[in-house]
Amino acid sequence: MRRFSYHVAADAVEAARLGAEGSALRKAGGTDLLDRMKEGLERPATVVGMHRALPTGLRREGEWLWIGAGTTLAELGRSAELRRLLPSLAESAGEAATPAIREAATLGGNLFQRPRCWYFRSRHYLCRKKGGAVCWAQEGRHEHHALFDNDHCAVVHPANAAPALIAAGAVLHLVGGDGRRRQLPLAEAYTPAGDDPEVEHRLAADEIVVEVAVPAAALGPRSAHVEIRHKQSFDWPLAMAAANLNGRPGLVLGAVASTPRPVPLPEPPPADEPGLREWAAAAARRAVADATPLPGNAWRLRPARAAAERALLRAAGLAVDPGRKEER
Amino acid sequence: MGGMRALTLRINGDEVRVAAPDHWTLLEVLRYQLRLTGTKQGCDKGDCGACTVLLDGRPVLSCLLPAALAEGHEITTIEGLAPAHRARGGEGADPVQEAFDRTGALQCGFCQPGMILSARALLDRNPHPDRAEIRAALSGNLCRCTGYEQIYQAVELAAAGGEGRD
Ligand SMILES: Cc1cc2nc3c(=O)[nH]c(=O)nc-3n(C[C@H](O)[C@H](O)[C@H](O)COP(=O)(O)OP(=O)(O)OC[C@H]3O[C@@H](n4cnc5c(N)ncnc54)[C@H](O)[C@@H]3O)c2cc1C
Ligand code: SF4
Ligand code: FES
Ligand code: FES
Repeated sequence: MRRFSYHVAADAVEAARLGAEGSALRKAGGTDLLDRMKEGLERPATVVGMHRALPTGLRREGEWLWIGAGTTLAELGRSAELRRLLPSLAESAGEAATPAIREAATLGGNLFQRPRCWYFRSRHYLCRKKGGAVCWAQEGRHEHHALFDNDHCAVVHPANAAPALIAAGAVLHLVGGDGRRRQLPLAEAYTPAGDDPEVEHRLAADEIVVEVAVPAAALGPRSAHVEIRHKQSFDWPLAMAAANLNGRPGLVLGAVASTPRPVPLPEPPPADEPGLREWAAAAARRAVADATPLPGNAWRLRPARAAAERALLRAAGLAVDPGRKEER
Repeated sequence: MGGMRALTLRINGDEVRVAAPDHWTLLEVLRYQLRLTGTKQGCDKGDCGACTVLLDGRPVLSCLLPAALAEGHEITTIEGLAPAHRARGGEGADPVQEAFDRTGALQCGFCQPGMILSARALLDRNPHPDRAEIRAALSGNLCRCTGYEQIYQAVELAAAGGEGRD
């Protein structure tokens, strides 16, 4: 890694302000940032440590569940309260990456980690995301790349925690470098790679997330996260989906497009089991109906559809039979 | 740009003072300043688990942890397990180490310090894990040699010995 000086921010406003100065970069758990710095993709003169600046833990206040942006994925995965209130997030955080990474990785860092496209992550490829003219994934290897919105830059949004939070209607609470505060629904926070591959989100340069708030209507036992991977122990998902049927039904796919992808659910779920199963299968079919896969990744439409269907079934409290042959 | 920083670290029960550049990770301080080379440097970017150490009893990757952030925490490396076991009145090495030896849970041994520390952290939290819990706890520690079976058996053996310790 290149030399840098390390500054520990005393509070969120300082972290927001200093992180926007010069070539400085902010670090929460550092599991994404240090990887990019070691690869030489980022060369900050200063790294601003946010571990003292970000709130941690869960609290109920008013009509919301508040989660500190500095809470680790391990804490989210272990939290009995979260398993009760928002099982989809407890599952998605508790399954992300590896146990040791989850001990360091924070919720804020998970939501704003940068994509994992192997061309982007290698300093040897200058691609559109780094200001170049080419997307190497289009002609090259793209089996893990996007199934939607992929003609310009085909990254997928990697964050495990995002689909569950978007399906629950979560809102980011942001602090700016001058102390200003604002709220931004997580569903509106990410920008598609088709617009500008170098921009990934709508946070200002001097803004950070301090808390994530989930509305009470989305809390309860009826949410689930399903992730399909090549290998059941740690691996990046081929597709993931989160469903929330507590209040207004929500279904969001992850790891299939440059932003987490909400799926419209036109009708409410039927009350009877056969009806519910039919409804879930139809919603899952719709979830991938307008995909535009690349030549080497169309096979991932099936895992994506299966993840969507299983997430809805599990959120509804119905058993999923993973051995069942899915329709083609 | 990039100053030196005086650090006070608590490693395996001892207080250690070192001066390290800001950009050094805990792994670099352990291996290249303190010569505690039991902690292995594999991928150096979070993928392999060879650099696992315990921070306040929880497994973390020392290759992704700036050394300055380890201040104020209790750091346990593989070198610390046997002395800690003996300080508690035990004999020989930590039961997890003994169990790895008994089941032959290694070939080249490069993954072993990280595996053993991840297993130690698991057993301290959950003295009687089932196979699925063992697999999940070790899922971030890659082994290119053994095929994992004897490693899981070693953790089961250590657990069967009672609290995974004696
Ligand atoms: C081997 C491996 C496997 C992995 N597998 C998965 C996986 O399956 N699923 C998954 O989701 N992830 C996976 N990850 C990625 C991992 O989850 C992320 O690296 C981690 O969540 C990032 O959190 P952090 O706190 O370490 O972020 P940092 O590295 O500290 O920060 C990441 C980025 O987010 C920004 N940031 C951090 N906090 C905030 C905030 N509060 N407000 C605004 N911006 C902020 C930082 O400035 C930085 O740009 C994997 C990583 C590794 C190394
Ligand atoms: S998918 Fe995006 S990040 Fe990957 S090579 Fe193409 S332009 Fe670059
Ligand atoms: S050396 Fe740290 S995870 Fe591989
Ligand atoms: S024994 Fe060689 S890597 Fe595990």
